[in-house]
Amino acid sequence: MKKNLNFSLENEPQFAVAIIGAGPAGLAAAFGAAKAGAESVVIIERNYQPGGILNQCIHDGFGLHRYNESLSGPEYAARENNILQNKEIIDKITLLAGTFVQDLVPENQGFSLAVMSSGSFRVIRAAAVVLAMGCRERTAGAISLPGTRPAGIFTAGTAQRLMNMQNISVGKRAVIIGSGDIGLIMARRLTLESADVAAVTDIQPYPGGLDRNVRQCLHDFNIPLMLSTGVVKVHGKKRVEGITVAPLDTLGNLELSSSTYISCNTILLSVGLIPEHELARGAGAALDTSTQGPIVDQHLMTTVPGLFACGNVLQVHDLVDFVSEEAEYAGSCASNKVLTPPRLSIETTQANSTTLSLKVGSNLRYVLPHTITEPGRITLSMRVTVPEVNFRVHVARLEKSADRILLTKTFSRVSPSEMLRFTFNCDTVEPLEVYGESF
Amino acid sequence: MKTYDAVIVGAGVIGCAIARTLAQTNLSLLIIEKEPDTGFGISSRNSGVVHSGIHYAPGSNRAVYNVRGNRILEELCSELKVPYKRSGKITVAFSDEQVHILTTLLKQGTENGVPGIKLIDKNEMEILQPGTGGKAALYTPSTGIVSPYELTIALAESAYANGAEFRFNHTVKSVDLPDPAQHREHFLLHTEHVESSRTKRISYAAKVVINAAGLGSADIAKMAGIDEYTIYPCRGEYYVLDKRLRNSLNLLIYPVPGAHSSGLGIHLTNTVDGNILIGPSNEYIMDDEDTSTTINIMETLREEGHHLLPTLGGSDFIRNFSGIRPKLAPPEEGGFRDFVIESRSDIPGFINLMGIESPGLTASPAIAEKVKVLVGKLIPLQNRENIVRGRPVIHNTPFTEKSFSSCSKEEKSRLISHNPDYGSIVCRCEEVTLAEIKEAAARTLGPVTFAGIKYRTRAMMGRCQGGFCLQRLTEILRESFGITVEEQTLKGPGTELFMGSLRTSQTPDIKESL
Amino acid sequence: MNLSDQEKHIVEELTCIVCPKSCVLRVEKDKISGTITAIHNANCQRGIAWVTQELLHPTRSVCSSVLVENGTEPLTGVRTNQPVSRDDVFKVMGAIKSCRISAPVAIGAIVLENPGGVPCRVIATRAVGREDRKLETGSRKMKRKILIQLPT
Repeated sequence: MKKNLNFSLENEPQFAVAIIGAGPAGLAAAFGAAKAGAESVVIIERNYQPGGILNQCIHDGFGLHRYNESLSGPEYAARENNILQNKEIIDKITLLAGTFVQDLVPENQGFSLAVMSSGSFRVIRAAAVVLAMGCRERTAGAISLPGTRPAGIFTAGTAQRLMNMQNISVGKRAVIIGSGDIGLIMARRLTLESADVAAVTDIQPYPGGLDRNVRQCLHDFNIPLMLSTGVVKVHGKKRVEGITVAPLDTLGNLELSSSTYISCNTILLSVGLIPEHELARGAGAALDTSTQGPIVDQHLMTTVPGLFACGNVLQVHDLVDFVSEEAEYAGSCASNKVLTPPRLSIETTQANSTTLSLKVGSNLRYVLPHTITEPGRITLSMRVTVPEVNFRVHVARLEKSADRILLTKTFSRVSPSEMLRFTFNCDTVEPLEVYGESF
Repeated sequence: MKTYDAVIVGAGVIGCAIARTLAQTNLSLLIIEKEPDTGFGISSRNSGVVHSGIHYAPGSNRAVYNVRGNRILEELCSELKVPYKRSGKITVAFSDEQVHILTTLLKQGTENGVPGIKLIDKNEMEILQPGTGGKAALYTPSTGIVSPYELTIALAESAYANGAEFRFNHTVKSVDLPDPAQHREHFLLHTEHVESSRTKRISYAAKVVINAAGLGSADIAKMAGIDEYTIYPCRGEYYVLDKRLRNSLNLLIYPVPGAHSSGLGIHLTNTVDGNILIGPSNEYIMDDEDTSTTINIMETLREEGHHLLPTLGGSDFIRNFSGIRPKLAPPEEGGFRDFVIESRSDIPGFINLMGIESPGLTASPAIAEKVKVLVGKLIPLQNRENIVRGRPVIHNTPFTEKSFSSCSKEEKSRLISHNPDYGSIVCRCEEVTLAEIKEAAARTLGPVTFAGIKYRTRAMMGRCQGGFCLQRLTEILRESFGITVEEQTLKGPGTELFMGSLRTSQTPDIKESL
Repeated sequence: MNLSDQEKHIVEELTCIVCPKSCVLRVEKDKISGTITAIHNANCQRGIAWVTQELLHPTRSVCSSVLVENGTEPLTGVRTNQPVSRDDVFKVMGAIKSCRISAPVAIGAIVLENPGGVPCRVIATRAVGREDRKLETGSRKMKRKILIQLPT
């Protein structure tokens, strides 16, 4: 793989496929694109090394599906990087590190990307683009965190990066708001570093992360998990001094009379992730308000022809193995798009496409993909809204008829923190719906 | 000990405006500020509105200084390269009673000399801002918006370049008045200075003391023996909305003041940077340092925001903050009292500024003019030779007026080839580059803090609120400016972000990896 | 006095981690002796083995960081190459915290053997290159990070 920090490109270089992001999604997409025959692939990464968020995830649990091993984040990234070292693949790929995509504009049967790095501002062109920029964390402002704004409030991911990559200690006694996996992992991390985690709170009545993490990150260390609990006030003028929390009633209102004050000097927020959708939006792609990621067809192509999306920028994943799988597919679809002249015009394709819709109230928060353009094997991903046991998901024809159900998948337990993923063979392009039911 | 001709207590927008004006004379000038930087109080925590002047009683200080300030601010901002926009405003009436109030405001504004005001009907309102409710409105084209923190910084830099001295992290603790019996010809201000967890006591002598200490002005006045004033802190909370909505609002929309039966009568204000502010609220509080935001008010602001901008989504609310007004009017009275701008006859040499809340920002340059006149009666003034105008070079670092994010592609390319640091993005949401961070840190008059970098560059003000840039800023401050991880603060001593290193070098043997 | 069944047993629910099926196993333990008296919902032997171990002799892998000298980064990630007894986690952490290693560091490099007397190895999980120039504080240059050294 050609790697050069101060890559200077002459005369607006052209690539078959440009991939934005060299995290697990970008690396797998590059492999998928090159393997499927794309002549030239460029990966554009804003950090100085590939790996994305994996570089700061020093805990293990990655690669159980893909490699049958429990690896740490950087090890998984190194494996994915390794896959690209294949002789047939490696010469096709260029990595622009320390480079930021400032602008993505669809034009002239392709895209122009304005990219900048230290000392360089260029426009490069690509016939197809795969978005793989991952996601960002929801902030204190997004949850209207009440109280003061002293030093010592961090989002959990930021704290993770500061600790694991920059050797910075963020605090000695913490309260973690949000029991998603990032919050749970950081609870363990802080405890192993001899910091005190006074509590992990969550507004929901169930934990946001995997069972395994609740056991290994909280129960192991007797860290209290306060469910159905909201924040009343952050205290402290200069540094965090404490936080007042209170239980939430069934209507979601704080029961102030039952408030508890917890003293602490650090607050970590693990309150959700949002796909980095700015470039997609800027390029004109339509977004799904549930996922906050772009609307895609079964080839993971957005509503902008030639623009694909995969990984956390498409939907927030919990298993990186699925990210790699999804991204490799997106990369190969991008390559196919470039290599195969369209059999049908875009208009005809769009007229033929049918929308996979979601039955309201069936405990499915979202389903991907949103549209199906041609028959084939389709991977469906979805998440439920609330945990449930004995849950079925049906893929059915929209029109009511006796044999409308095409596929049913049964799950003994489902939870919002675990993405459901299965394939289904679509024989005819017709209006479909996906819905769930308990039994 | 050096005796300064004038010492200004407080480096908010008022103190810095006065500093700039006085620095252009031959006076020796010192500004004492308890925070690590200018404008950390209410000066950076307001709507940034340059008011027209319709709301104030004719002949009052507020009216007179506002109208004068409004007139000169545009040119001042142009000279100092501070973002300013004359956006105009409509004050909207929803009932006949409120329409009547508009006519009163029109009369008042005309008497105050406010240019261009007129009453407009629904059709004209619709043209100016489609979808606005209401029966009629008062249009004030002279209303503008400015970046209040950038203005304060620019005023301070101008003063600094013209010889004014600044002492940050210095808190005035007591004041000795001139007393011939004690052989004390001038004022003595005794301060406490915090640096690296140590507190030092330092005193300064001054012929003239100017009290521009905002929320602390009553305390300073008391130190000088002036007991008649009390400052009542009154907090206003705000929401900041995402820039993607910037085109929803063409001009400022305010309801008729005092006439709202429910809610807070929420203002929607554009900022020069393209955000929309919802707020402020109005709540008397006990603690003048309590810049909390509260659940109830945030909820009200959110509801009224949705009401006014139906397309608002949850993720559009990116941040809340609050500012505390230094009010002279006690809670039982409410409303506003006029600015106090006085040269004390009982304490010759003590110039007292009290209760400078809204429209203090707008009035600031005019207040500075007045204070110069008052000082001139105490000390003969001459113009300084070689006055440095515009936005000066500070610490050998020139000021770049145009932000990288506002440049065209060609301009960006040229900037990057000229200075490679323009190619490194530090704050992705606001598109702030390494070159701009370095420039801002270099130009900071006092110690560098994250808040100071934020106000100078807008880093950390975007939708991810530091999620991307905080770790990068930490590295830059460490590597380019030698500020260790333990020393890096959010906004001064006591607000250190980090608690040292996770792993420190200890005595065990260095192992080669096996 | 006879205790009722309910008072004799504690019931715990654990989600098995052996394979993606993630069966939720219901385990009954004797309140006094702590021995497992029944396991429900297990679909394979591996699950039974896992839950037995998890309740009686739980093991954990330990993941943390070690200080790196003269590297392009201050830390490398490390983990134990096999799970250790849960009771030994903090012993392993103690050894990890006081350890220093010098760059370059390759993924898989053995950093510690039998940390704190606990039988296992601690291996590096992130490659760190060697920083050739000493960092100058107050210098105006932005540090350039060298791309990761891929395992050969």
